[in-house]
Amino acid sequence: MTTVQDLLFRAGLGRRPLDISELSPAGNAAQDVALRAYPFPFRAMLAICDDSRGTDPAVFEATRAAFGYRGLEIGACTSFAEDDPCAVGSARAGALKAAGLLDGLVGLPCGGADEAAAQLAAAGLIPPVFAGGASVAEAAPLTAAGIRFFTDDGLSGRTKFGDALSFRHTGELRRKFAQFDFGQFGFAGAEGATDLRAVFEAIAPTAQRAFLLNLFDAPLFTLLPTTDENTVFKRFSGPQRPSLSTLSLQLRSQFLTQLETLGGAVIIQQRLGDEALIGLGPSRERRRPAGLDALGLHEALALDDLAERAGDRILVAATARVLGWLELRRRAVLTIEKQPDRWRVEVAVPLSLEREGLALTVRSDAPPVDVTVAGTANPLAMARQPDPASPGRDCLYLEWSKRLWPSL
Amino acid sequence: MAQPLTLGEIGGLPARALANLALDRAGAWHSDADVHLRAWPWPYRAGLALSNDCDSQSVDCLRNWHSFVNGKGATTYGDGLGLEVGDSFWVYGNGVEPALWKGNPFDAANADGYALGAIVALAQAGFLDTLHSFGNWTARLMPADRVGDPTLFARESILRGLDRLDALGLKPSVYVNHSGSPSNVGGPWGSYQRADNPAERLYALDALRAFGLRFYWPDACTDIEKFGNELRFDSTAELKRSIEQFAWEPWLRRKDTDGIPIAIDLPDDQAEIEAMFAAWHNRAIFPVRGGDGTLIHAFKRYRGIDQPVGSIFSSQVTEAKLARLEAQGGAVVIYQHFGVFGPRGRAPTISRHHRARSPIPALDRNSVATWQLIAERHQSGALFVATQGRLLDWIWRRSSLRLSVERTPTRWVVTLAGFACPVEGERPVEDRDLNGLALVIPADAPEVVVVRLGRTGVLPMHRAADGANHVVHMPWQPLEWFDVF
Repeated sequence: MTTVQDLLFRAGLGRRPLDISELSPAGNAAQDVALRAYPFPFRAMLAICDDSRGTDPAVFEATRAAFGYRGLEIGACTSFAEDDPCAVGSARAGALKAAGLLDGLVGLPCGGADEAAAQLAAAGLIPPVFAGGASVAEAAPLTAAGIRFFTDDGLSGRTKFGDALSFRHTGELRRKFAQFDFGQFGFAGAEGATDLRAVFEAIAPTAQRAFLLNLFDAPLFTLLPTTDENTVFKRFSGPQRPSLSTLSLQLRSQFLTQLETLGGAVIIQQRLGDEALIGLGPSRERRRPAGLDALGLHEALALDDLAERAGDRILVAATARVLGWLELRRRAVLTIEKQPDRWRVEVAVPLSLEREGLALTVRSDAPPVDVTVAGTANPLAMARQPDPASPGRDCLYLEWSKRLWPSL
Repeated sequence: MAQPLTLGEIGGLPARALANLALDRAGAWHSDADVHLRAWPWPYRAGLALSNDCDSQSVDCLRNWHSFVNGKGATTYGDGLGLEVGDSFWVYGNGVEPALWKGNPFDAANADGYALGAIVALAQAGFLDTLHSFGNWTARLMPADRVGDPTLFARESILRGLDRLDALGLKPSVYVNHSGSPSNVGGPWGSYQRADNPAERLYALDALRAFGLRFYWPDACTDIEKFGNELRFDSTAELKRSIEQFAWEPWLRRKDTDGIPIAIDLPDDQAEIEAMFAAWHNRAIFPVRGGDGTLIHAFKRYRGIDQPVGSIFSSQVTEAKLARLEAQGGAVVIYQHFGVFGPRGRAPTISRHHRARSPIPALDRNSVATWQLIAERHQSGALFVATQGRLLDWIWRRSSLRLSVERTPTRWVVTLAGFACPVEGERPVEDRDLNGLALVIPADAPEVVVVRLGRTGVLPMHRAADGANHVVHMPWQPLEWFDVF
């Protein structure tokens, strides 16, 4: 299917053919030492970003239990309505913060971003992610309150599953790019959504190509090149506004296998507390709150499938942790000093980013490698193992710990 | 034929061959004449048919969902929708599927298939218009003591089946390959298929064609992403993008005798290559050469990215896809197995453990809503819904009918001269061809009458406004469902 937006945006690419060197996933196997694309031993990353506003608390716990039972990590978003399961100031929000799983905020109160910041501060919450319910532009002032990653419905993709894909060669990249549709973002008539067309038209022609490549394959990027404070991320919604009913289609085996094969990362947009008829538009889908019986065979098998892969292939984590890793991957700078019997690697990363799971890939015949964080003296206590994702290379890594859903 | 290409060489060929494809050759129904057949029976704007493979579908299961979709009475799903939706059957069947005979040809005896009376009645009425090949007649089911027997798959078994169809008064017009069946037709993609391979004892394409099987679905003719064909594109840029986005790979390869994928053979002529790729991209039916070199009509089915079982029907056919199909005036044939339940989105290795045969109820609430959506669009006059044989026949008719117009200031006489096409040759217009006949005429045309060449009398046409034009038409008479069970 071709859209007007696709035709318009493609015109902004210019005549220069796309080349694989323009996209730069981490973990370049050609280098002696490089940041590994994902924590060891994983080869892809996935988060489910759930908007739980209006969800029955019992259903909220039941769906979380379905993840937890299978060893799947999932975070939660706080919000401002008192009846929401993770309302700002609620006991559950506090417990999830303590467990490191309160990773997002969704929606804004009547007073907008300023009031949101005040309420979050009063409750002692600094969720790193703004997960929609209002536009990125409306929520942008929350940067001052500590929120680092923003998204809204305008950045929801309907067809392409996963970003930061490791295309093997330019031909594969061009085939995927040819099939990609720039009109896939957002939903018709969505409120509180970034207007990508307006953004595109506001960008200088020389910057349009970078913007378009980010839309194509960057999981997170700076929306306007002139500022570094609008780090936005894309979510995969699927062709319909997401609900628990569409979860099994969002998590298709085929999608997950491709994510593993191409080493991608994906944030899945969800509303686990809703049910809706599949394939129908907003006026016909009969969206309603999910009941306790809503998690049926289709959903259970999808989670089983994901859990099986989550053992050592797809790292499934809370949204903020996935975004934090991708940000670290984007910003880390390695300085390498090679001696015949030992290599020293200094990793410079912004202080705000966690280093949990930090992993480097090195040639298997490299001597011992000391890794330090810039500004510190002591080498990190990294383990070294052959890298199952890259034959002929080893991985130096810190452990990545799974965060379990707390008993409330 | 041109020199064989490698898979690497052939991959980029369609985009190059179609680089200058004009919109009027891109597959949408088009005529430069001021009097021409309307794309669809009046007042419809697009067409849809269901192509339901009968695998694992018992007659009870068939009845369960067809009573709702086709019937008009109350059912457990709600009031019947009255749609003309067909189904398929087998000649030889070993399981629950509707079949004329119980067992495979190599079994000692073939008793009548169970529920034969209902199958015959539905097939005579036109609802069972599709042979899903001759059956699940595969080597893995052969008796142990006959392994290697070359007579197991023989033309005589097909001829016997055709005689049986004839004796029962059944005239299916559509032939759909069944998973791995030797009685499948391969066309340009042939490998294991034997029915069109003259080197095989099972060769019988000549007999299938002579019997009246007109439309063939070879395995390759499957749309995974593109919903619908005969789509109208508003600009060459839009057409070009659709060609770029099209999943060409399965169309460009076949397997050699060792099972190794190789590029298909291509014609020598560049214009032929362009026409072939253009048809594969956006025609619902198109001529291909069977393995014996004769021309047959192949047709495409839309599968989507999931295995086509009942539980994914609602994601195969969505409101957005139907809206787009109608806006582009296209046709779609939906590939399904309502006789199979499987979990949504799972790989075959996972779903096979959770498959259910002949689920009753066959439709989940999502599928019910999807059928209701289809019925609503049909009743509103937007979406033409017919059995796949009749939908394909309509598309064939509109590109094969030859007509002439005799004009006087007060009256235009349209003479339907007959049909002509490279696959079926020429034949006159018969009564059955008049169902839904609709001709677009200029709004300012005087009285328009329609006659058939060599026949007396004027056809009883109605005239109505149709956008900027007028249409003279006969009403489409759908098949009426009845309870034969």
